[in-house]
Amino acid sequence: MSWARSGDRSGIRSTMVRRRLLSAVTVLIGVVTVAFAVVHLIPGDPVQTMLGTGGAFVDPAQEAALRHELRLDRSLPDQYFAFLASAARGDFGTSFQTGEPVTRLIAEAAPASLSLAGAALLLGALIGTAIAVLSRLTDSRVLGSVLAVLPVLAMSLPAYWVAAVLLQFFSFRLGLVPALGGTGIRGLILPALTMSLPTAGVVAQVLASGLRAAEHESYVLMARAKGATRARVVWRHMLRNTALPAITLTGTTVGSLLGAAVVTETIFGRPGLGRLIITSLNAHDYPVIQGVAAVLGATMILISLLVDLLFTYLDPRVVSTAVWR
Amino acid sequence: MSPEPLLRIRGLTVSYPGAERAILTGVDLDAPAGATVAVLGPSGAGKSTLVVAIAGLLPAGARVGGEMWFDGVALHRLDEGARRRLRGRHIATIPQDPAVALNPVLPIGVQVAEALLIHGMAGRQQAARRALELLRSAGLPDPETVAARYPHNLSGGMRQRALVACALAAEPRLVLADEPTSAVDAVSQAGVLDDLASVTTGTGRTLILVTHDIGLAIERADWGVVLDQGRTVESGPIRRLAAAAQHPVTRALVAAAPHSRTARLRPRTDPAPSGTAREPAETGQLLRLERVSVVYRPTGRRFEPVRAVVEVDAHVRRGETLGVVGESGAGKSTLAALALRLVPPTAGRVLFDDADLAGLRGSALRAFRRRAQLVFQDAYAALNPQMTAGTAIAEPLRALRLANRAERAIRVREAADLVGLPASTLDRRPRELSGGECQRVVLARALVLRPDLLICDEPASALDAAMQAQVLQLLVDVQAELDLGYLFISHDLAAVRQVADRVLVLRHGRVVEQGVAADVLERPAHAYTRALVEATPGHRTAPKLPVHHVPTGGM
Repeated sequence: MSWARSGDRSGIRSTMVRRRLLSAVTVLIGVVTVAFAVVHLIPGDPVQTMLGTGGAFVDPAQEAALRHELRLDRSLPDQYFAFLASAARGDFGTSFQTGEPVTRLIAEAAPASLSLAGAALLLGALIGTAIAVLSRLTDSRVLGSVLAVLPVLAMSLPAYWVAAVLLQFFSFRLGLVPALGGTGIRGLILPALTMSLPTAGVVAQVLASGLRAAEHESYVLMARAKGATRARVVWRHMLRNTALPAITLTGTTVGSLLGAAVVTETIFGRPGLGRLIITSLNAHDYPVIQGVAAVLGATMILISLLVDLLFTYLDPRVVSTAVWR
Repeated sequence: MSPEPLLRIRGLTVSYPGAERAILTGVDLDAPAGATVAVLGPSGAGKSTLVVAIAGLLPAGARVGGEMWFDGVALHRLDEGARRRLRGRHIATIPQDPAVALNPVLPIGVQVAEALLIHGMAGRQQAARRALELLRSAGLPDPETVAARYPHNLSGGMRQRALVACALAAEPRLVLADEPTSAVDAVSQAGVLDDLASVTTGTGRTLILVTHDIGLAIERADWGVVLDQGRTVESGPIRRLAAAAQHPVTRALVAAAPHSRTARLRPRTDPAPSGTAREPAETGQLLRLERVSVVYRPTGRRFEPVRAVVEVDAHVRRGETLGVVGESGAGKSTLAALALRLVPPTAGRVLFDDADLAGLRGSALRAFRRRAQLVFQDAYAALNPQMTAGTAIAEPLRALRLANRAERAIRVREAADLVGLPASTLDRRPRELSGGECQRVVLARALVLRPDLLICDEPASALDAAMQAQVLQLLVDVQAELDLGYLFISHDLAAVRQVADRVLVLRHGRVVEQGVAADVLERPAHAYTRALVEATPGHRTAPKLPVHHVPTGGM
């Protein structure tokens, strides 16, 4: 017995957005709290790092003055609530290292990382879909088994190795794209490709198994009974029905993509959030680390909202469901 | 027989490598142009495989032998590309279950227009316009609205009509309809078949109608072909076939036809010893509904509240069956949910043994959960595929912590005996059981708790006629033995006639008529009940069939 009723879809979307934004506040507070706790738990002291190079004599008065200036002499709860209050106003403080506002540092680094992650996501979805669809359409056994292995390979190859191979081949051997620090589209290609492979693997596997299962659905038989070609059956009938789990998973890979950006940006010598995190962690630059964590958290919340909104366009059955108990 | 049939099949065989036995072992069939040919037979006879084979949609790996001629073309010699160009264009299929045969994410109009686009018979806009005409002629009065909707927005009958429109888009010459109405209620069924007839007869179109209901075949078909275990056992003009059935399988089909099932079934077991038998008068009302209404208010401001049940009065006594009939959407399932305390009444009261269900808490609620049980329509879906039959039957005992391991085993055995499940089936999982066996497991699972009230929601509708007869007989036997009250919900009037003592007719959530089963169904007072009765297959023509005495079970 089902009481699901369908109807006005724009109403469903606005309700969805409203509810999500409310819960986003709670999630964000959680994220910055964890970030705050973690930076203070990491062994090491920012003041020591800033003042001296290991073991050298440090003037206690100077150290105390710096500690006071950075407000690190206050109690932890004090620091925490002061941090929350200013974060609520969008102010994450200034970097211990450079004295620049954290928001400006992030604003400078974010575009490079976001375009890299975005390109990787797009590329991953395209490659993954192509592998899955091709494996359903091909009659060749050899191609079929190659396409079945590719996703596993794509997911298990480490980024540093893929990056090295791609650089060796496309930059050094063929000279097609710049090796390091390139800007613009051409500089984006190799790092984006490196990062896209795990996403491509996930998408390909989920889609391929979904398509395989859809083969036995009645609506597929009906489409074939109308005389539809294999390609039409796969593209028009099966793909949209099986896309939903793949899209969910793609959304969740965004988090690991941003993590992978750290490695990839380092290898390819690109500026971005990855590099910002590495340098800040090394310097125990608390405000920057906390700021970046908040921004990443917000990004994840936004992505999962977008995924859910996309569902309402792809599947007409996604509606508010009323259940009585 | 007419000179050259549009479809001629000789010695068709279908088998799968590695399978124990062939699915089809020798089917002969002639379908004259413009005629309707009924393909009859019990489930497992190979009817659906035959349809799929004619359409050329057998799964890869199937071995096909014999000959199939379509309008002088040897189908068995064509390659896949040529078969594909025939499909949807000249040979169309209307599949069995309308709930799953439409693509859930595409609008109806797009799906109806698709065949025209595939075969290059129209441009996009032209095809869309044609789709509206097709929907209208398939019996959907508001095609503009329907075309823009998705399958889940439509009722079962509307979906089935949409599928008819899909199949007929390219004006095929041969239409294959596989049990096109087994999943819709009697009123929609008659309507769908009427609409199907109107788009086939007079157009020179040939219809192959697969059914296990010979009454329906007599009404709708010219010729009949009876299959059993993968081969043709008898064929000929349908009326002659029904009236002078030669083969035992044909005779069993005639005996199981709904219009030959008119009397209340009697329990095969001896009635309870007179010492323990109760006077009907002293038995109180087990379940009572007092002016109950249920209004569903979907979330979201712009949805209309749905009045599923409106001021219904009803009761079920111990040892008696209340049949609930009505079209899909009449509120039958909501009534079941009310009786099981799964849905709270918006107004009115539901009483079980004179206690208001709304007030039950804690141990009283648990006692009620034990005493009122549900038997599902789709028994296969109601069983966990990972659990053996024995584990499934024992589960309610474990859930309510009613027995230890040893007692559980004994009670599972008892319940299995009661429903006639052999011990060997208890170790099997649902997919290793037949539809009838699955339904017995579901019944045993309900009975193992020794309940007082069974809510049966279309318990036999998903089974073929012979199994249906067995399950209904079983329900009657069990009722007599355990003195159970039944709330028996069905759109199948023939089934209700066989098990119900009293009948309640629902329409749009309201009680239209209520009374003794024989009175209500034989002499309906209300026009709506009359319409329901008349929509039962076999009712209108009421052919005089010789009564074959085929026993329905052990004696």
